Amino acid sequence: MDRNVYSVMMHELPPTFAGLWDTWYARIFTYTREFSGLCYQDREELTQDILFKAWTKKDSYRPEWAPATWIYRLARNLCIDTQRKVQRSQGKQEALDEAQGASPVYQPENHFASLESSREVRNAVETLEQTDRELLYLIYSEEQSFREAALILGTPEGTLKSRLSRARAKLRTILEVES
Amino acid sequence: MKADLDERLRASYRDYQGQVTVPPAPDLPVSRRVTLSRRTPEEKSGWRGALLAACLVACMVPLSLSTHKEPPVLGRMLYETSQDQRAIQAGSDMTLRFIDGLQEQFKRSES
Repeated sequence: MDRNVYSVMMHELPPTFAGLWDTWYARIFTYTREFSGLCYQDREELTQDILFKAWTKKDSYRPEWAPATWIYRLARNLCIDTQRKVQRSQGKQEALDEAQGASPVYQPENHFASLESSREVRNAVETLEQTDRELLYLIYSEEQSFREAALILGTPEGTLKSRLSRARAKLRTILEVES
Repeated sequence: MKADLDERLRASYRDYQGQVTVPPAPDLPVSRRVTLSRRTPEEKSGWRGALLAACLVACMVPLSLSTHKEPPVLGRMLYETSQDQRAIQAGSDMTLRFIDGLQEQFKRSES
C-alpha cells in the first residue's frame, strides 16, 4: 500500500468531509449492526450523525490515538444514546434489522455459498451479548488490539480477553452444532 | 477449528461490509451553534448593524405611543441624536452590551 495512503488511513483523519464519509461510512454502518433494536433506517441516520459529529469534533482528535479508536469511541456513545431513545419510544422492541429480512443487504437466497456461511456466523454472533458482539467486530473486522478495544469499550483488557474467549467458545459450539 | 472460526468471522464482516452501499456524502448541515462570536469582525458589525436597525424600528411604535409624538417627529429627534457623536457612542455601546448579554444567555440555554 502506498505509504501516504496508509498514513492517512492509520494515523490521520481524512482532510475533507467527503473523504471521511467515503472512508468510514461502510465501517461505521457495519458497527451499528451490533446495537440491538436499531432498524436499518435508524442505522443509516445514525451513521450519518456519527460522521457529522466526527467532522465537527475533529479538532478534539488526539493524534496519539489511532483514528479508528477515536471514531469508534465517539460512534459508541452515539449508538448507545440512540439505542436508549429508540427503546424509550418503542418499548421493548425486537431488532427490526436484517434478522427479519428488513435489510436489503442480506438476502441469502440470492447469494453465494460464502454468504450463506457468513449468514450462519452472523446468526451465531447475534446470540451473544451486545458488548461481546462489539468486541468481536473490533477484533475481527477492525483488527483493533485489545488495548485499543479496551479504550473504545471502556473495559479492562483482561476482561475483554476472557470475554472474547467465552464468546468464541460459544460460537464454536453453535457453529459445530449447525454444521 | 480455531483458524476456521477466526477466518469465518472475518469473512462474515468482510462480506457484509462489502455489500454496504455508500451513499454520496451529504452537504454538511449549517450548524445552529454558529454564534456572533465565531464570525469575522466584518460579519459581526453587519449583524449588529442589522439588529440595531431592527431594534430602532421596533422601538418606534411604543416610543411614539409613550411620548405622544408622531413617528416623523420621532424620526427627526432620532436623526438629531444621531448627529451627536457622544450620544450615539453611548447608545451603541449600550446596545452592543445588550446583544453580548443576549448571546451569553443563548449559549447558557443551549449548553
